[in-house]
Amino acid sequence: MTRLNSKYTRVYANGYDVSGVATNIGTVGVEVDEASGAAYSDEVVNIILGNSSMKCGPINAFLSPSAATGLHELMSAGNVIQNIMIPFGAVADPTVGMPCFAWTMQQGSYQANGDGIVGVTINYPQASYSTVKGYDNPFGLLVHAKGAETAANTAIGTIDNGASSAKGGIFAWQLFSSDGTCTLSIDDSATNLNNAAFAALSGATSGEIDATTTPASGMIALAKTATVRQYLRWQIALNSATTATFALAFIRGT
Amino acid sequence: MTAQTGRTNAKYISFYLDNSSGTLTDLTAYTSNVGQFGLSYEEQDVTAYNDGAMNVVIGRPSAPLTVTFKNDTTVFAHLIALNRNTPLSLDIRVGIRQVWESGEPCFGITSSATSGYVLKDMTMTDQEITATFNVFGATAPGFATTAHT
Repeated sequence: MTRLNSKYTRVYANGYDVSGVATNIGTVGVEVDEASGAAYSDEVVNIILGNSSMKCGPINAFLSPSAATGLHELMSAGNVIQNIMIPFGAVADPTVGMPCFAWTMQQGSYQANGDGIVGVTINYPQASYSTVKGYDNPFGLLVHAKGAETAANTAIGTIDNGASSAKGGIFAWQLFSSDGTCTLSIDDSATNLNNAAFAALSGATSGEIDATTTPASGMIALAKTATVRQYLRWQIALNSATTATFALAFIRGT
Repeated sequence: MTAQTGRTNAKYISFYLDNSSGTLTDLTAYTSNVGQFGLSYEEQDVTAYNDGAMNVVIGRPSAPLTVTFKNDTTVFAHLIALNRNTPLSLDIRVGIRQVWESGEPCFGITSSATSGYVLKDMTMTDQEITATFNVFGATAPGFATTAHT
């Protein structure tokens, strides 16, 4: 049991860490349509679930222009498509294995107010922008906490699902900075014995990306029947880059 | 301890829910509010022109649940592993001034392949997790004095 503290909530959008100006994430998650009914002889009104709607926000933040790109520069157009990642922490910044919301959303507004410290409210329509068909859950676990890496991962896995699954998953990534090109990915394994036991999880890769000048982000859905083995770990291939700062999350299909 | 009667305090409520393997699991340590639970019946208006008063007949019940949890890694992992098409056993046990004992009230259902609760919405703020459940299948949950399993 690890209780979470709101102080350690972090907000990432399109490869930018906007936690320094965001003040409240509103409500994130999923709401599912239900068709209810009952046959004459049924004891109770009962439901069959329908489409899922991803919910994000409204996110509240300070209106705070920055010399480089920050939340204001990123979102002030009001309708930007964003890869949102919101990891949660307990007594420190979010670490590997902590809960995480990740989904691609399209903004519906960016509105300032005139009370006290001038703030902005960012609304997202309650629908997913992305084409992640077959998945009805935007919650997963953080596989790599925001931080820099300068070499490939040869450590054993840090995410243990308890068993393999064959219901796919979603790989979400935020590359905050790099000094060249790199590829972010997820490895999986049936055992957690050593480095050799791990192999690339097919499809869970960012492809070659570069955040030398502009951060990058993405969300990749595996086939809904893809096998994801019990243990997961982060992976990076440094191509022309020597260092990259990133965060990764994985949402295991159910 | 034996079952007791009389009034009680919400601190003695416990909440149990199937995990993704179908094992009924005690989530009380992470639960902060189980909302309203029980059966609420639909009313069908049967008032005729010459009736002296509006009148209804009672139809079927419904029993949706909204449960609030603390933001906690254990209950988060429990909920995100649930498949929304799999009926779940669920039991809300109301201990009477003590940890619940058989003979004291509980509300819920023992699931089967065709009946139980299903997880519907799951939302999260930076303070708490809220999950809603509704009934799948023709069998009604209900109050009992022996645990649902």
